[in-house]
Amino acid sequence: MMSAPKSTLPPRDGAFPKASRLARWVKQGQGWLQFRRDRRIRSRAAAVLLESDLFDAAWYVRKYPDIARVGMNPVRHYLEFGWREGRDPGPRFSTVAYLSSNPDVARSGVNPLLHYIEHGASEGRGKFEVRPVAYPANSPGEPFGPAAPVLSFPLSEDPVVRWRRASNFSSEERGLLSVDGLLLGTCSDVIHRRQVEGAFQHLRFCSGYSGTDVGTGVATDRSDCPNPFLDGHYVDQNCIRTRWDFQGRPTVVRAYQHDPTRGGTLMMIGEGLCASKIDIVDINLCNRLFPLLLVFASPHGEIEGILEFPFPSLCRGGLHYPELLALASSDDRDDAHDAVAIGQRLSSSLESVVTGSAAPPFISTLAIDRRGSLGSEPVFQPDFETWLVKVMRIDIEDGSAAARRRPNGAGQVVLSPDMIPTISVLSRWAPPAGEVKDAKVVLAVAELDPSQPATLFTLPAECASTLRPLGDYPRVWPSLAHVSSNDFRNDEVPIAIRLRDQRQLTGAEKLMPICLSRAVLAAPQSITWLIWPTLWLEQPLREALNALSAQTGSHHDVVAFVGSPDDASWELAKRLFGGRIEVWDNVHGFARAETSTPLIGYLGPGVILHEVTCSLILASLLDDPAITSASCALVESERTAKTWQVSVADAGSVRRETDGTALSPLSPAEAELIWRSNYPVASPPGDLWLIRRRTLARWLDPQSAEGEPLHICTTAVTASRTMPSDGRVAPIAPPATSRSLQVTSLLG
Amino acid sequence: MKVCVLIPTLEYRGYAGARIRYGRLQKELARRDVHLELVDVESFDPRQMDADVLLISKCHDARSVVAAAALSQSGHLVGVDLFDDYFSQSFDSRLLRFRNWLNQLLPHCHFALCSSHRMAELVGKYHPDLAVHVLNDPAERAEHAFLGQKLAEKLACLTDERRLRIGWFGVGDNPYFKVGLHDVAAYGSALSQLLRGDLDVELTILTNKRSLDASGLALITQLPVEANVEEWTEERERDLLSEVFACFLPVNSQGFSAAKSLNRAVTALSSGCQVISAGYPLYARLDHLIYRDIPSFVDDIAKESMRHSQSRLGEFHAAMLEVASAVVEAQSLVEFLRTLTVSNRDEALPIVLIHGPVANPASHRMVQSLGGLSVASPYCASQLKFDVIFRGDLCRPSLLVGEGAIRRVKEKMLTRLQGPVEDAGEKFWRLSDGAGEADPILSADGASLPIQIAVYPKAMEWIADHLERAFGPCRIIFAENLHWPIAVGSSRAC
Repeated sequence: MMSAPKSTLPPRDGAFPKASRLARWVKQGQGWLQFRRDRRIRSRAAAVLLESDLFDAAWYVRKYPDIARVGMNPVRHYLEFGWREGRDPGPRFSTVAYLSSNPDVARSGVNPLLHYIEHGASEGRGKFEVRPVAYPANSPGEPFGPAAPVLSFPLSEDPVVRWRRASNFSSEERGLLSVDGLLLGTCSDVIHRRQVEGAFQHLRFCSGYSGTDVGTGVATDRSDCPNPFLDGHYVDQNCIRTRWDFQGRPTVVRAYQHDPTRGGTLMMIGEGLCASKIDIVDINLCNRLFPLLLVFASPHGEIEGILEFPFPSLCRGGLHYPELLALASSDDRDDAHDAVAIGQRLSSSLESVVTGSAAPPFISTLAIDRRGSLGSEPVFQPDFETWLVKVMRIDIEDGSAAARRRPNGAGQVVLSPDMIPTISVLSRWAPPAGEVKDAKVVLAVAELDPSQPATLFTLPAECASTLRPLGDYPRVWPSLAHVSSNDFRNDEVPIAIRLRDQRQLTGAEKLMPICLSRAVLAAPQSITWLIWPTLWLEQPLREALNALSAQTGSHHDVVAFVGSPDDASWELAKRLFGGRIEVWDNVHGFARAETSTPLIGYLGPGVILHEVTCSLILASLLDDPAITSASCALVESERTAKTWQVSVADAGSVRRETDGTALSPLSPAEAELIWRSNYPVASPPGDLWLIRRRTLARWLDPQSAEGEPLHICTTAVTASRTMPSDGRVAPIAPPATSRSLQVTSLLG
Repeated sequence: MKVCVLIPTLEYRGYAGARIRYGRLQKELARRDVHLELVDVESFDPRQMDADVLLISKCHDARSVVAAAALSQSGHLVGVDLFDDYFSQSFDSRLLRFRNWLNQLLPHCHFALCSSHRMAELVGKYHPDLAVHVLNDPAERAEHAFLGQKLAEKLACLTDERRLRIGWFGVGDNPYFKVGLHDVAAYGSALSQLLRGDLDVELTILTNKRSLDASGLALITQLPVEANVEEWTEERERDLLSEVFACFLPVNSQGFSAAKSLNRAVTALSSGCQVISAGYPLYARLDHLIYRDIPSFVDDIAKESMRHSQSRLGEFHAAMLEVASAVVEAQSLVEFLRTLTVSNRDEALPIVLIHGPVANPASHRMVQSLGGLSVASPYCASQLKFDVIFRGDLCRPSLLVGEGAIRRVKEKMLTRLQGPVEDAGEKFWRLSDGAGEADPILSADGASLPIQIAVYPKAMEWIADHLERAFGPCRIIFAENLHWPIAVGSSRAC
């Protein structure tokens, strides 16, 4: 109820009368007494504001510099004009939000802060804090000032090293080595020459431009020249900036790559002198994923070493960098973070696959589920497709006869368009005599910005076939089918990398992740909703009953109160659900009784099924007999100045360690990474789940020897939590350990 | 024939949508006695409309629906021009309001103009019986003058200086889709192939300032060629197109992009630029004049024989005649409009506009000026002089009739009026229609967002039902333009 405002305010149209207005008052006969009375009211109102910690004069002047400019008293300004202009009195009170959410106050013409201090606070009305707003600094089109110096170091006193560029080599020179017409440098030793030529032949093979002649592989003499690669990162899509350590010996680095846009012509794509560790060599790639060959030479041009760099995209900023992080996190070797060393190991494995010298390939077919595709994702870019075909010897399956499949293998990986396959999964070979089983699915989700952490999601093998895409919506999880080995089950290497859209989810997408047409959903199974009314406040309970009755198919649903609801809620439930209401003393009695519905839903305190298809979607998950419980992410909505702020409140708990010992809630940020998907959780959100009728009896029976449950949570639909969860939930779903999503954060 | 094009704002006249689509047609249409007049929706009064046809363009709020409903009832031809696809993303809850809008508008329309065949197909899914005409964006005829000379000069300059200037122009961002700079970045790696030769490559990006935030600039820094970034203006675009040798126009394949017209490629070609297209083959009809791969482009530079050149102007003019001729487009539009007749399908019914949480005062005024009813739903907190308001607590909503609307109440219901009661200083009479007891429950004002969303569709159906019971048959329009995923009518199925 609206409280009658006391007379603490000046009249709406008569505050602080000026001389002319005063004269008009006198003329109208209102007189001096009226003026003095109003002034007294205003003084008192100003005193109330000044005593309140919600009015911050300094903040007010800082936020609204026009007031400082005219030199007006901020309290007086807020009382007279500020609130009518929607200005806030301080950082902890939003004028607009208070008036928007209290229309009775808005209608009354009362100053909102005074109303809150004198009435609103005691009536439990929220005061709606002002959220900090970052104001843009310089707009991008305006000139920037000079950068401040942030680093200084003494310049090297080493003498300038003069070196020869390849363009200065002459074919007349003695001992000069050339490959495909490119002059590489001098090499007088016959054995070394053969090694260099063999390495280029190997590069040709790895790049897919020679069918059978593998070449001689990596030719670096590691005892003499340990891997000098220090660091490499993509400065743009096609340029890797590299640093090298030649132990103080000035060395010229030259990079070579076959250019697939020119029929595989060998190109020199980078050249530079490294006299110290801080020297850089930029390599302008013909194709950002094709293998490189690095030739190291003395400044005079004598070739001293060669290094194969099979997968440059493992470098920081490259498409496969998250894979490097994942591999490094599961490998104890010293060079586990080295893109060159890891790349060479993967290349060796790939070579076995493509030459058929080992077992069949683990993956023979790569398919992209094109639902939701933009067409501009990396996997559809010509350079990526060329890399798949030429280097990885696999094509994206599109149903055409021309699509290249790897012979002998049976494994199939299906990705969404925003994913790319990892080098590991395409380089892997399958040990013979493997049993065909579902395999564990590991997905790395990352932004292209390598400074941001990547997240590794591991789906247990039991879930891989359970989690189907939702309607026509793009899949969130990759799938791995027909793999003939269970060897991959214990491997934490991702099969795909999802390159994340940096866009934050909007409130609308959190409230309704997918607009599923009711037409695509199956006929609903009826549900008995268990509600403990004693845990609820009256108003939220009535709202929740309203929302339940608005659910599609709710005309068959039953409400079972455990304990007695208040009279108004009882009346409302009767109106909404007719005779389909039950009251039980305790849940055990309910569980023992025969219920008329096949499904039981638990609705915790303050939960509102805001999306009308929520129960339908949860019930459809239970069509799969392997699934024990179905639940969805809970979100919370908070009123801010102009709109509502929606956040993920509970998306279930997951495993944090491989042994399943550490369970913790899925964070909102993690949940957003797998938005619009189904995933197994260790325990469902505590305030909302759906189970089969017989499951409840087993959960309540301590002697029950039920196997490990499979709890599936979905972010394809959400429900709202309007009260904080106090954990007083009964019955409690028994947690799963191994049958849960595992989440690992990878830091670069 | 006079056609009134209803546009969202006065400023919109300067946007590409209005400038290219209507500005370039105006003269040719006038020659055929069809006169286009652009009127912003804010100053539009359906009662004063002296045009024969109303064409709604980008006015995505209830005013256009109200105007369409009123004018279709009064014997005018009503149509909608659709050239941006915000309507096919059926799973995206952010765009539900656009789908709601189109669902409400199309029943009042006699025809739709579409920028592409994809848009035409989309309209068919919403309203299979609606007459649809594909209107291509015409090219500016003046741009064709001296084109051959310009093409030759640009090639000569490139050959002499070995400096290849490439341009990209357009809106760099979109609140809903990854387009603009995202496309440039996604397909930009192809430009690295230009660096292999002896050409100095320069890319100039002309785009809107809003798109040049940190992430937009980060996308640009990822490009393999050096890029100059400038703010787009119409003049600067014209200058850029006269300077650069080629335009790089990548397009992704999502519905929003694939449904676009050919106007960017047409503008570039008409300004004497080569076009390098990447991604979705939006410009396939111009394939013989443009490049889909960089190596061919580089080879043609080496041969000094470009696809768009002085010697092949005949092909260019033929293509323009087919896809971007103001004469052809104007003629076909006139012929299309003349095939349309105003059907008598719409019985003249009072228009009732029901306001959701946020009422637009302009649409409120418009419906009242047309003799319709402006109704505040229980969610509506706006303080306007509504004809009918729904108020009350969660369980017992009341239908309150304003003083001015009492005469509109059905005669047999007049005896059920009680009052007056006061709401926001206005007098209302409570109407008890005797049917509310067992009806679904409405949410009161100030209710939380989740409960509003949960019961909104049911509540609106309830309100519409009660209004028809009180006032008789009427044409109900929901003035819902919220960003929240609130379904109106049958739009969920679209």
